[in-house]
Amino acid sequence: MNGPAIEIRDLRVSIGEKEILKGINLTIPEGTISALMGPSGSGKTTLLRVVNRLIDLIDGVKVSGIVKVFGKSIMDMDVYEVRRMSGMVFQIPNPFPHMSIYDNVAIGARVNGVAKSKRELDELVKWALERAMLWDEVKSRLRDPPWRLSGGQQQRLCLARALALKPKLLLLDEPTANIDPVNTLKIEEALRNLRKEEGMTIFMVTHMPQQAIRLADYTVMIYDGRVVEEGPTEEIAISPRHELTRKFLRGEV
Amino acid sequence: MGYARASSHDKLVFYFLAVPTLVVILVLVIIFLTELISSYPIFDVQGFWTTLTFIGWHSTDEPPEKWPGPRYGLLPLIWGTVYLSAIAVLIALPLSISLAVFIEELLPKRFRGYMSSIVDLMAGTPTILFGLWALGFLGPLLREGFMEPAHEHLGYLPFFSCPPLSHTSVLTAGVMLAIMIVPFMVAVIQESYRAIPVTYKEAAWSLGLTRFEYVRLNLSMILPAIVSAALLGVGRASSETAAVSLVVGNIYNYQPGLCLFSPIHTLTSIIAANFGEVEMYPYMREALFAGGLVLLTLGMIVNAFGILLLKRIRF
Amino acid sequence: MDARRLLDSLFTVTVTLLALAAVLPIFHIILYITVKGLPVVMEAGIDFFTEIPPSPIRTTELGGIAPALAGTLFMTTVATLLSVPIAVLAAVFSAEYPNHSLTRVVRATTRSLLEVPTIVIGIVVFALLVQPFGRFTALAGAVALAIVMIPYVYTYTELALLSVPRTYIEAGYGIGLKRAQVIYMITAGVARRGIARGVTVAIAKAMGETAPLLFTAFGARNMIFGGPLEPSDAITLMIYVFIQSPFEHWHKIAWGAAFVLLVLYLALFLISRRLVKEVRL
Repeated sequence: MNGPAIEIRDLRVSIGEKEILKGINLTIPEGTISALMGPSGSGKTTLLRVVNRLIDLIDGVKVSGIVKVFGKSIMDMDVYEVRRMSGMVFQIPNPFPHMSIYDNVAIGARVNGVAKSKRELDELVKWALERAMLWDEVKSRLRDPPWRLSGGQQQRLCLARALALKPKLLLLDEPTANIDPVNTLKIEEALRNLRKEEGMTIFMVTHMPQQAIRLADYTVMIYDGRVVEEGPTEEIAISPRHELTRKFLRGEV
Repeated sequence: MGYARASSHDKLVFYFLAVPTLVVILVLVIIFLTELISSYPIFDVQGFWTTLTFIGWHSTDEPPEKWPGPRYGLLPLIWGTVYLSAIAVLIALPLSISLAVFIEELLPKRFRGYMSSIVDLMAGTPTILFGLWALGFLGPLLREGFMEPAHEHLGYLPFFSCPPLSHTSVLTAGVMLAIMIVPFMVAVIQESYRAIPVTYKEAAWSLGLTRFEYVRLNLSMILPAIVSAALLGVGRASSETAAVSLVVGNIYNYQPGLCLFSPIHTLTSIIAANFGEVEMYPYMREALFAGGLVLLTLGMIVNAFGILLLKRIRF
Repeated sequence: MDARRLLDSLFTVTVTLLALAAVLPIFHIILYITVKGLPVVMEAGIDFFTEIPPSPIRTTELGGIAPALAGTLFMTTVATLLSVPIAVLAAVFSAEYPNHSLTRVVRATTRSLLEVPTIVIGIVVFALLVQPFGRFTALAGAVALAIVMIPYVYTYTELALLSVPRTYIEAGYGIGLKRAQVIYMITAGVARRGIARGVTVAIAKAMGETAPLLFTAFGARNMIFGGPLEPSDAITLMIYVFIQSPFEHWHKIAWGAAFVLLVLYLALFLISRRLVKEVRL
C-alpha cells in the first residue's frame, strides 16, 4: 500500500441549521476499494460529495475541517481543479440526454484537455467504454442517444464518462441501487479490474453489505454523521465491534 | 478554513448574467418613467383629478392663456375601458369555466392534447385577425341578429336604449374580446383544477355525488383561481388595442352610460386614433400619455390582485 | 329519471355546448380569413409578394404587399436578435441564482411587462427613439417589438431551465465542467427545445403585433424596405390601415395580407408544437 488517497480530519458539515457530519476522521489508502455504509440519512452521500466539493452547490452549506486528496488540501484549491481529480458516478443513471453515447464519454476529456487530438479522443473513449465493460454493446452505435440504452447500460456509460477524465480516484454513490443484478455484477467486475489493472482508488457508498464483502478492501460504517467503525472488510464482516454494525449487517437498520 | 469561496470564474459568470437581468428590469423602469414624465404636464396644467374626472375632448391649438379650462378628460375613456372589459369577462367567464371543465372532466383523455393545442392556438393568434373577423363578420351578425331586435323590443332597458347605428359598438368589441381572452382564462382555471389533490376528488366521488355536484364542489375549491382568471381577463381585455379600435366605434362618448350599442373610445383606442396628431394640438400628447399611465396603473393593480388570489389557494 | 339525474344531464349538455362555443370562433376565423383572403392572393399571384401596393386611386394592377412583408421580416428579425440574448441570459440568471433578490425582482418585472399594453410600449418608444430624431424608423419598431418579446422568451426559458433535472447539472460539475460550461453545455443543452419553443412563441407574438408599430415604424408603402433608419410597413400595420380606408381594392389587399399573416402564424405555431413533442429525457 502507498500513501493515503483521502485524509479527512474533524470534518463538520452543516446545511442551514442542520448538522449533517459531526466530526469525521477517516483515511482511505491509495489503490484500494473502500465501502462507505450506514443507514439512510447518516451522511454518506454528503461525505462523498465533500471529497469532490460537489457539496458547494448546496445553498447555505458550511464545512470545516481538513480534507486532503492525494496530499493536497482541497479546501484551498480551485474548486474546478478539485473536481477534475476524481470521477463520480451517481445513484440514478444520468447520462446527458441531449448528447450521443460518444459525446457523453468525450465531454469531460474534451473540456479538461485530457486528449489532444481526435484520434487520442477516439482511443480514450474506447478505453473508457472498455473499462466500463460497455464497448462491445455500443461500439456500432456510438452516435445514438443514450436513452436508447437500458438502465444498467446507462449506468455503465456514466462510469465510462467518469473514467474518461483519467482520474486516480473514483467516487460512486450507490451505483447499483437502481439497476438489475446482471448489470450490478458487471459494474462490480469493472471496479475490481480498475483497481487491479489501473491502480485506481475507489470510494463507494453502498447500502448492500454483500456488495461491500464482495468488493471492498476497507469498510467504513457511519451513523448520524460520525464514523462508528472502520477497518478491513473481512474483520468488520466477521467480528463487528459495534452494535450498530451488527444490526446493519443483519439488515435491521 | 474558508469554504464555498466563489471562484473567480463563478464571479465572472454572475456579473455576466446580472447585466442582462438589470437591463430587463431597466426596461420596465424606463417605461414607467417615460410615462410619468410625459404625462406630468397635463396633470400640472389641468390638475390631476380634473384630468381623471373631466368629460370633454377638445382638440384645439389654442395656447393655455386663451383656453383656461381643461381640454382633455379621461373619464369616458376609463369608463369605456372598464365597461368593455367587464362585458368581455362576463361573457368569457362561463365559456372559460365550461371549456376547462369540459377538457378535464368530459373529454376522453386522448383528445385532451388536441384541445389544449387549440387553446394555445387561440392564445397566440395575431389580434388584428380577430379584429378583421369581428369587423367583417361578427359586427354585422350581432347588429342584425341581436342589436336591432333588442333595441326594438327591449329598448326601455338602459343596456339597449340607444339605436344601433353601426355594427361597431361596445358590444361588438366586448364579444370579440371575450373570445380573445378565453384561452388565457382557461389556462389559469385548468391549472388550478388539475392541482386539486386526487384524495379530495376521490372523497367527493365516494359521497355519491352526481357529476354536476362533483364539479360544483371542485369549482368551489378553486374559486380564488376563477376570480384570478377573471382579473387576468380584465388585464388582457383592457390592454388590447388594434382589434378593439377596429370595432369599438372610436367616438369619444360625452354621455358615458350602460348602453351596449353605442360607439365609444377606450384608453387604448383613443391613443391609436389620435396619437398621430399630437404635433398639432398642445397637451394632446401629454393627455394620451396620461391615458397610458392610467392603463398601466390599472393593469398593475389588477395583476397584483390576481397573483395574490392565486397564492391564497392552499390544499 | 329523478331531478338530480336530470340536472346532471342538463349540466353535461350545457358545459359541452359552452365549451364548443368557446373554441368554434377560432375555426370560423381561420375559415373566414381563408375564404376572403386566399382568392385575393390567387388573383394577384406571385406579384402579391413582390410588388408594392396600389395607390388609393384604382389602378388595373392589384399590386402586392412586398413592403409590409419585408418590414415584418426585418423588424421581427432585429427584435429577435435584440430580445433573445437579453431575455435568455436573464432567465439563466434566475435559474442559476433562484434565491437571489435580483431574481425576485426580474420575475416580478417580466410578469409586469407581460401586462404592459403594447400600445404603451409603442408610445414610450416613440418618445425615446422617434421624437428626438424627428423620424419614424424600422429600428424603433424593432425595439418596440423586442420589448414585447422579452417577457415571453424569459418566461419560457426560465421554465425550461428549471425543469432540467438537478442530477444532470451535478454530473456536469462532477466531470469538472466550469459554471459557464455547465450552463452552456448541460443546462441549456437539455432545455434547448423548451427555449426554442419560447423564442418561437415570442416571434409569433411579435409578428402579430400592430399597436407597438403604429407610432414607431409608422408605415411606408411606396418602396420595398428603405433601410433600418427609414419608416417601414408591416403586415399587421398594413391590414390595420387598409381595412379602415374607404377604398374597395385596399380592403381586398387587407384580406389577402391577413391570409398571409394567418399562414405565417400557423407555420410558427406548428413549429412550436413540434418542439414540444420532441422533448425527451
